[in-house]
Amino acid sequence: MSEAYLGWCRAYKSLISATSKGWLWFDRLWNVVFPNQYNPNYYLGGISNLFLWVCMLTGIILFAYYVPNLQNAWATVNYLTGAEVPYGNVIRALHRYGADGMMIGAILHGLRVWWTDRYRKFRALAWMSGVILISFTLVIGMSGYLLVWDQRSYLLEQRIFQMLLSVDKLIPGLGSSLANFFQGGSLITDFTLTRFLFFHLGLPFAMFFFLWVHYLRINRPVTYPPLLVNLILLGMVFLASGLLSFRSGDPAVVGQIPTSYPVDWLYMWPFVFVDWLTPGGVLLLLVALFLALYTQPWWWREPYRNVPIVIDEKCTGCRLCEIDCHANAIYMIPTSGKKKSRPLLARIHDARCAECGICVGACPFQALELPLLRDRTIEERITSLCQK
Amino acid sequence: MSEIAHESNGEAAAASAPEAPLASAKAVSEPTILGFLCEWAANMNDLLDENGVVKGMPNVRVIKIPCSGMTKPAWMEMALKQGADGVFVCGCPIVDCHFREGNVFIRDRIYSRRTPKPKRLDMNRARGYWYEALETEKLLDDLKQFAEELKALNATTT
Repeated sequence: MSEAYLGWCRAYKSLISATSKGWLWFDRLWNVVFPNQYNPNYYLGGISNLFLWVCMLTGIILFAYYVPNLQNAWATVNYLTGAEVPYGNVIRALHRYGADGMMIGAILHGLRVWWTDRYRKFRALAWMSGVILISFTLVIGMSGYLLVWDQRSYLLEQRIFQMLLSVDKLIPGLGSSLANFFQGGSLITDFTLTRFLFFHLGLPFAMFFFLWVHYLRINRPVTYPPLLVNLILLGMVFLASGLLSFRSGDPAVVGQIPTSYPVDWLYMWPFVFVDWLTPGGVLLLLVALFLALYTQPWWWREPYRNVPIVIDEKCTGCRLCEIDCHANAIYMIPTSGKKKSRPLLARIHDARCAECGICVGACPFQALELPLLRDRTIEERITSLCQK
Repeated sequence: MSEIAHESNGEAAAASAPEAPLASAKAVSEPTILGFLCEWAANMNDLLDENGVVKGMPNVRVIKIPCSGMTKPAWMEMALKQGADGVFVCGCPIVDCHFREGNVFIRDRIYSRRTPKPKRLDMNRARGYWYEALETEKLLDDLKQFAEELKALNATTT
C-alpha cells in the first residue's frame, strides 16, 4: 500500500473518531432525559422498523379505498379524509407521519453507524443492504406522493419523467424506455397511476428481502425499541396525526404544471435541485450519492490481524462461542469422533469476525485465544499488576 | 483494535512489569484495584503509563482489552487471589456495546447468570462500570469511591 493511501486512511480514521465523539456527546444529552436502556439513540434502526409497520398497517386501510385512475385517484383520497370515513384522516396522517418517522429513523441510524465506526469490515453487508433499504424508502415515499394525484404529484411526476428521459443522452433508447416504464406509457393515462401503485406496493415487499440480508450477519438483531420507547413514539405519531390532519392540494390537471409546491424535505429534496442542475444532473447526483455511500466500507481498509485461533485439543464442541458471537462468525463443523465424544468443533469465518474477543470470554475451556492478546499474556499481566 | 495490538505486542512489556507498580504502589496504602477496560469504553489512553498504572491513582491498574465481553470471570478471581483488593470491568453503556452484547454478557457473568460463571468471586470486591468514551471522569469518581469501600472492607476483615 502506498504512503498516500495510508495517509488517507489515517485522515479518515481521525475524522471518524471526531464524529464518534460528537455522537457520544449527543447520546449523553439524551441520557439526561432517558435511562440508558430507553435511550432512543440506541434503537434508531428499530424505530425505523417500527414506523415501517405503522405504514404497512395504515397502508392496507388506505389501499381499501384507493382507486388508481385519473378520474378517481384524487377523489378517493379526498373521500377518505372527509367526514364520510370515520378517522380516515387520522389513518392517512398516520401513514404520512409514519413515513416521515421511518425516514428520520433510517437517516439517523445510518449516520450513527457510520460516524461511530460501526459500518465496515464484518458489518459491510449490513451497511450495503442498509443503503439499499434507505434508497427504497426514498423511492417508495416519492411514489406515495404521486398517488395522491394533486398538482404537486403532477409536477413531481413530470420531473421524474424528465430525469429518466435524460438517460438517453448517455445510452440512447434506455432513458425513454425507463421513462415509459415509469409512466406506464409515453402519455399519462389510467395506466400511469396503476404503475405508481405497483411501485408503492411492490417495493415495500422487496424491502423485506433486504431487511433479511440486513439481519443476516447479526445474531439476535434488535428489531424494535423497548415497549416504553415504542409507546412514546406511537403516541407522538398518533398525537400529530390527530391534531395536524393532512389534506391534498388541488387536483392535478394534465397539461398545467404548477410553478410552486409545498416541499417535504425528507422525500422531495432531490427535486429541489432540479432548477439548478437540470433533471439529468439530479439523477447523476443521486446515482453518485448512492455509489459513494454503498462503497463506504472500502474507502478505508484495515487488515484482519486479530481473528481468534481455535485450539482444537481444548474445544469440546459446546457451542457457547457460537451462541455468544454477535456477528455469526463462528460455525461448528462435525468431527470424526476420534477424540473422546466430541461431536463438533468450532471454526471461525475470518471475514465475518469482529476481532472483539467475546468468544474468548465465552469459552469455559480456554479453547479460543486472540493471537495478539494471548491468555498467557493477560495472566502474566494480572500477576505483575496485582502485587502491592 | 490496532492499539491493543501495539500494547500487547510482546511479552517483553509483561516481563518488565513487576518492578514498576511495586515501586509506585509501596508509597501509598491505598487498596490495589485491577481493571479490565474495554478500548471503546471510558477513554483512559492519556491516563495510563506503559504498564497500565493510572496516573495520579497508582493503586489502580488497568488491562486494556478489545471488548469488556472478553473478560473471563476466572481472570477476576485470579486477580483477587494474586493480591488485588478489588477488581472491576469497564465496558460501554449497557445496550450500546460497540460489539452489541459484550457488556451484557460480562455483567451477567459477574452475577453468575451466564456461563462461564465465576467459581467464587467475592462480590464485595468486584464491580462492573458501564461508561462511554467521554465519561472517563465518572469512572475515576466511581473508582475513588470503590477504593474507599475497599479500605473500609479491609479494615473490618483484617
